[in-house]
Amino acid sequence: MPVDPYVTLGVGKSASQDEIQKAYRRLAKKLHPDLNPGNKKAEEQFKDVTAAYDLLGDAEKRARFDRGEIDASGAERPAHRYYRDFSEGASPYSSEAGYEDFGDADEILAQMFSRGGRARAHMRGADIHYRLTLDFLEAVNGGERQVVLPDGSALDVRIPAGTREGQILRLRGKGRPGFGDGPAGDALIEIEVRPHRIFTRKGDDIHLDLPLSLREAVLGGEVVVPTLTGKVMMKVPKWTNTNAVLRLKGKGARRLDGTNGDELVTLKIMLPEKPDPELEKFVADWRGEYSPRQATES
Amino acid sequence: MLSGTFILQARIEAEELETWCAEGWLLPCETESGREFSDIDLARAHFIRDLLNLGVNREGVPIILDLVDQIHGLRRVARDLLGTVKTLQQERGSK
Repeated sequence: MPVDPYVTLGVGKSASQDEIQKAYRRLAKKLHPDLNPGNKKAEEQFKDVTAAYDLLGDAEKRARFDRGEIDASGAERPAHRYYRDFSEGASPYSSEAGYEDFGDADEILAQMFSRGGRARAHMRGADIHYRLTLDFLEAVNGGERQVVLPDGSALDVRIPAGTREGQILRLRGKGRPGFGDGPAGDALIEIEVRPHRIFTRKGDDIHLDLPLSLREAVLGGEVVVPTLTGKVMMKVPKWTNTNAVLRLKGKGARRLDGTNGDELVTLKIMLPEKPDPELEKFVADWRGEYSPRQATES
Repeated sequence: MLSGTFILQARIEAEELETWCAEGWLLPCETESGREFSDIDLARAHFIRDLLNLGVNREGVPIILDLVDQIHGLRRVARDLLGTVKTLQQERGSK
């Protein structure tokens, strides 16, 4: 006969939902079969407690029960097998830790474990996922990085040139060890790239905004341009406007086929920071009739 | 069973399963057709879900799993030892 679920949980009829949850957790912690591997009685009690909580933990079901619409048996949960039911055989989860201080008994224990170690004899180890944050130039130019794994061991990771945000590097055999003769899993390293102060990357091309003086814009000349691999000189043709884009071939990021993207330099004309009386006088005398806003005015 | 069946039987979200596998709480077999889960994995998933429902936080779960696995190992050794002791006693008794 089903017992009163309020009695099972040890709460009064007027208990709040919160109190019911607390009561359930308190009992479940004590009675969960997997936390009591050797206690057969715990399983029965845990079932009762769980059934009672299924009923009372849900405010709606509880109201229906209180009104007498459903009885305490409610819907029986389909029986599931507990983790402890599998403790006999060997499994990937079997732990042999905790005997290092037993000294000579080690060998006897090793024998015992090997007797159990039959099931799932050969199985590939699991993959492990990591995240690695790289500086912009480190990702673009490639290099070596050491990753410290959660277990304290270090892993040398070769960053190929041209590595991009979100890319996943697979290190074969660097995951969890296999079982039996199974091979080890892989380490999967997801790459994040920190933004750069001046460069941005679109596909394999590198973009850069480069300030240009009024004189350079009007008369043209050679300017120094930073690239991924150092500075280069670039010819600016005379009469170059703001937003003009000059292309430095092959100065972009490395592609998979070994070729490189380009660097695209967007020019921005900058007036001197401090007002220059000479320039002001010169412009005042200038009779230019050009209106740059024809497109926006019409 | 494959991931789809596993999610239904374990009553967890696909996302949750990804996390559990990534954390190493579950170690399914990697096969050609995807991850293959066993009954042990399912029972372990039920256990993890129960732990989370009991209010154990995510940092606590691997600690508990590890301790429980150690207990199972200890219990197995204890049972084997007791069996051996019993046999020895009987042999001595029959002499």
